[in-house]
Amino acid sequence: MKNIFLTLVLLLTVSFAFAGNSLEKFSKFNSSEALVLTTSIDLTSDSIKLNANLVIQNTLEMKILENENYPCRWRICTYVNGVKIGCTPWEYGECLPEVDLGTVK
Amino acid sequence: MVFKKYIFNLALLLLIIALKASAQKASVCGEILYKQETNFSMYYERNFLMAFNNKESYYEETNIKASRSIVKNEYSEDGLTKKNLIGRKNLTPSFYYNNKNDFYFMEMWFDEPLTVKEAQYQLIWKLYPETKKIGSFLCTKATTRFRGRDYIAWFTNKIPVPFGPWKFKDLPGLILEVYDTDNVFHILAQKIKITKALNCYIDFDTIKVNSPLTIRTYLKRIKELVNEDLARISSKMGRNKAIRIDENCEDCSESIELFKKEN
Repeated sequence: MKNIFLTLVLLLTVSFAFAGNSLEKFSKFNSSEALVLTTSIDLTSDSIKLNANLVIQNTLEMKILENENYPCRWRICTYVNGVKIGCTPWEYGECLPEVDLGTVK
Repeated sequence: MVFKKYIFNLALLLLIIALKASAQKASVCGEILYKQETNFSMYYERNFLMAFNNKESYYEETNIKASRSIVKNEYSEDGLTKKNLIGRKNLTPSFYYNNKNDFYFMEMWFDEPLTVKEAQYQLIWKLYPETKKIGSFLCTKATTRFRGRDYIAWFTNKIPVPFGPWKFKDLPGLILEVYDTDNVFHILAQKIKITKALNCYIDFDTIKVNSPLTIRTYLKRIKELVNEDLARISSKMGRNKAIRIDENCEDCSESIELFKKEN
């Protein structure tokens, strides 16, 4: 009985840990990029086993986008007479400050 | 006797002058106002006035307004695109000049006029029986391919000159409308003024086309100017390393002339 009580406490602790931290961060992804946590308890044997499987269905690129140190993905495209002439490569990094780029040389 | 001979010679001279004058064919002279539109990721419109006679045409930008460069933010799933829309302070009009032997044009890039002499090119047109009216002119359909795009033009036999707007030419009559099959480029005549005279001149100063660039050097210079502008932006952002355009990006440029897909 004591063991069962301890197991439940452990399960609750694990669940809160994921819910409070990692899950909150990953919840920014859409459903196809969700983190799946499955748990099961085996009570048949003398000792209690806890099985937990983590499935992370997202890409490294998405993680980078969510990284607090590099929150922005940006590029600059130049237009002359309404026609796009060229763009810089996409850059990851700090969000661009609102610089006035508009003065013609 | 001497007086009679004098009268005869005078009459002969007058007859020769009269015959010569009547042999001179009146030239077609005209002015056409065109609206030139591009419709890539954004719509843009310019106006051009084309003066022409039997020998040459001069297509010049008109109604130019000064503008300041501005930056617009565009957010998408890919990220933030800062659209750097280049303004214009230099109001010297762009032009396209064709005298049947040579073709020159000048376009303004970052307030720098770039004049180019085109290598000889002839457009191969296919004519169709279809006709339509543009204003009071009955026009015939023709198609061609030029620098990676397919075009449909409508020309009138009533004005038998081989000229047209922008770089279009070589049809048996004046081109009044032309557009590409992807609907990104469209030019349409708005006003037409035609006269016939013994002589009509195009007011074009050849100094304008001194030391022209080739198409290759022109395209290279445009890239340099874009990168110079990006270097200016980099320094404003306080970056040590200048940002440059991505040469290998597929969605990074739009162009009427697709030199890589030529013909």
